[in-house]
Amino acid sequence: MEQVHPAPHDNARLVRRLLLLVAAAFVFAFAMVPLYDVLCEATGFNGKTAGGIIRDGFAVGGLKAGTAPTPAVDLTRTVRVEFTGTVMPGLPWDMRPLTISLDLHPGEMQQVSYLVRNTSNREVTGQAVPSVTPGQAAQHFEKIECFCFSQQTLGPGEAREMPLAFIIKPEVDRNITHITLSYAFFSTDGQRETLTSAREVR
Amino acid sequence: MSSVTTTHPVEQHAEYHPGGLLRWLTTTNHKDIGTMYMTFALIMFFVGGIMILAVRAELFQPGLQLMKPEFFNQLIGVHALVMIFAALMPAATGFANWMIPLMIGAPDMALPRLNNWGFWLLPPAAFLLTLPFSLALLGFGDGAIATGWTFYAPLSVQGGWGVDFAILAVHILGISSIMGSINIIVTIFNMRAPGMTMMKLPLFAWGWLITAFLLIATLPVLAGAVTMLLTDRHFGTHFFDAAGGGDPILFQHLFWFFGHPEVYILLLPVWGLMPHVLSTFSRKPVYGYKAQVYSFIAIGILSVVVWAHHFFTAGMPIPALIYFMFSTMAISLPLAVLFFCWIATMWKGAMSFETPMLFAVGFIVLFGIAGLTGLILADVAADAQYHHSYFVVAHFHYALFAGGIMGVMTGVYYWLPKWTGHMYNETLGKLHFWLTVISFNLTFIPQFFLGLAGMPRRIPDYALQFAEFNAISTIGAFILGLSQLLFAWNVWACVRGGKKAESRSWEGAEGLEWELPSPPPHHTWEIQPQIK
Amino acid sequence: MEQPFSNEDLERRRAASRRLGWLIAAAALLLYLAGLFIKR
Repeated sequence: MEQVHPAPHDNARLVRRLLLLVAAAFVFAFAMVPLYDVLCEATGFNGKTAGGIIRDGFAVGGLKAGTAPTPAVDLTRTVRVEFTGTVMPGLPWDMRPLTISLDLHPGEMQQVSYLVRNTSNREVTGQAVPSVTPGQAAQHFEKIECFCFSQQTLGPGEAREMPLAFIIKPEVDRNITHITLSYAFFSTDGQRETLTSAREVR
Repeated sequence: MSSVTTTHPVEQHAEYHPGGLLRWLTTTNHKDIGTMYMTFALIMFFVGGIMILAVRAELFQPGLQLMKPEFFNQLIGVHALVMIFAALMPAATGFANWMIPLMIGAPDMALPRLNNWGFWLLPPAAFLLTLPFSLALLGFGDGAIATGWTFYAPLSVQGGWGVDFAILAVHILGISSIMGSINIIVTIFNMRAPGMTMMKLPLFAWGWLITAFLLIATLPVLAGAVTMLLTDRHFGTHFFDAAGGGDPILFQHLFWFFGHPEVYILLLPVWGLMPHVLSTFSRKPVYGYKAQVYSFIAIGILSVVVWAHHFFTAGMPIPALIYFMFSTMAISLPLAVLFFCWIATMWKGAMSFETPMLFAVGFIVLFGIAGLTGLILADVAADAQYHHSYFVVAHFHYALFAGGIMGVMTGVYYWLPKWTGHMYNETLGKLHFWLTVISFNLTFIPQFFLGLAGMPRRIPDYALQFAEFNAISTIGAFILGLSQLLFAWNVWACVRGGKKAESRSWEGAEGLEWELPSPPPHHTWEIQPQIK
Repeated sequence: MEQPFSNEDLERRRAASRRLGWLIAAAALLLYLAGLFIKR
């Protein structure tokens, strides 16, 4: 009738544009990785704590550089801090906090320690990753000294007290009365254990 | 919606047509490719169905009777992957291939060779996904992916090589879907009949257009996420590994940035075809065409900004929780517009209840339940209780079985006379509908109550107090599964023969596809119709 | 195609769907009103 064949459209151009969109979406997925880290550290999502010590490309603290301890101590209230820890599969250690919980005033510095023991008969290196709950408290939880700042190596059967010094900054929200600090200790030696190769997990 | 001034241009080209298998391997004809997509989807629907019947059989009684928990975990994950990527999505693409050129007056899809390739990537991908089951039977490896379809790290980083197979399969399925989407967008933008403006485009094409854009925007993000998973597993990266400074929660964000739009990717084609069916059997024009188009667009946009409601319980700051709760609830507004338009299309219409109409009305009611239970889950406070329980399982099966599969069946019964040139067996079709609806509810209503009572999903065993409802649910599931054999039989019989279908197979049907004979010749609309 | 419906039949169906529409609307309104009286 009016047209025997469809009007010649530039299909190739539209296809190129759509492929560009596909590529952009793929790149976006990878851009999310650093963006997500920045966002988490800035807001305390996921309990990433403030402190600002970045070592070996591993961000232990947040965006803020480690500042001198705030002198002011808020004596009008106390916060209960509870300590816990887990050893991840593949690391033949056990750990327990020597202080289970502690009442403190925001702003005062406290020191506690964990007892960590190597249950195997070889030398093993591990890395502790901290997490603070609730997440809103994370950015006000400032670690002055922590065994999680570096990798720890324990000889065969060795046990060690690992210290931790910290301050809950007085800026922490008044609604927060309980804070839990949790450590996950990971093996940094060799291959990551998989469920299939680690038959004992079954 | 649009009037047409032309007779059917029927003219067979003298071109090379190989016979037998080679015809299907090499075809670039949109009708052939559409048929292959639909057939593949039907086969995989039964494959995924058998898997979940094995799961339901295990859940018939408390305790472990039939299988080890590892195998149970593999079955639920592969069931979901098969149903989503190998049954529902290919079925929707099959509809698009068959119907979009016919409905917009185009001679074929814009990129026919790409189209052929897009289909033939699917069978190898499905093979890869299910291969680890057979390998495990032969003593190699320990079976298919056992993480559930969501691949959550760190479990997926630690899992056996079923995970690698699934990652590869998802990559191939993703490439196939992206090629299909590009083809559909180019076809709709460049191949419409003269005079068919975007606001005269059939709603089915509109639904698919939004779906195609969502696929292009989100599938590469899934591809990126599973690529990171692969490098975490084998190449020493630490994207999701907390020991190396990564974060497993990041995986959930990336996955659901794709995963939530995926729900609408599965449903938009169905929402697109629904008004055609409702209008045909109500003998009334579609109500609120523009409102439906704008709702599709609004849902498409909203769907990419609400992903975190899938893991409220993973821990998020309160403002983020509140944002994701309210944005999720906001989706119910354009959806309510769609529901209103569907109902208003039927209102005051001379309704008759052939099988497609029964499925359409059943879809509206049951999909409504999916929407309302979704609102309950969108509530942060309530979700803390219902998260990862059978309430969620029942909710998304109302969305994806009653909304997705029953919507696809609506379309199949509606267009089957057009595709095959024969009427299907109406009595059998009605029987199939009633058996499906009753057994579907028998399967999933008990699961709502199991979820409310606290039964967690993805666990092969359960406490004694859940026994009765699980038994009912299993009985329902087996009736549901067996009734689908009626559907397969009915389709097969209709392909083989039956009462001759007229070109306008239904009394009230409107649209360009009904101007063509049933079945349409191999090449159609080579002279494009002029739309006024 | 099914046997074409007679004009009276189509008219009867139109009336039926209109009545059913009002009925469902009334039921929905009643549910809504009942909801106002549910105390938590």
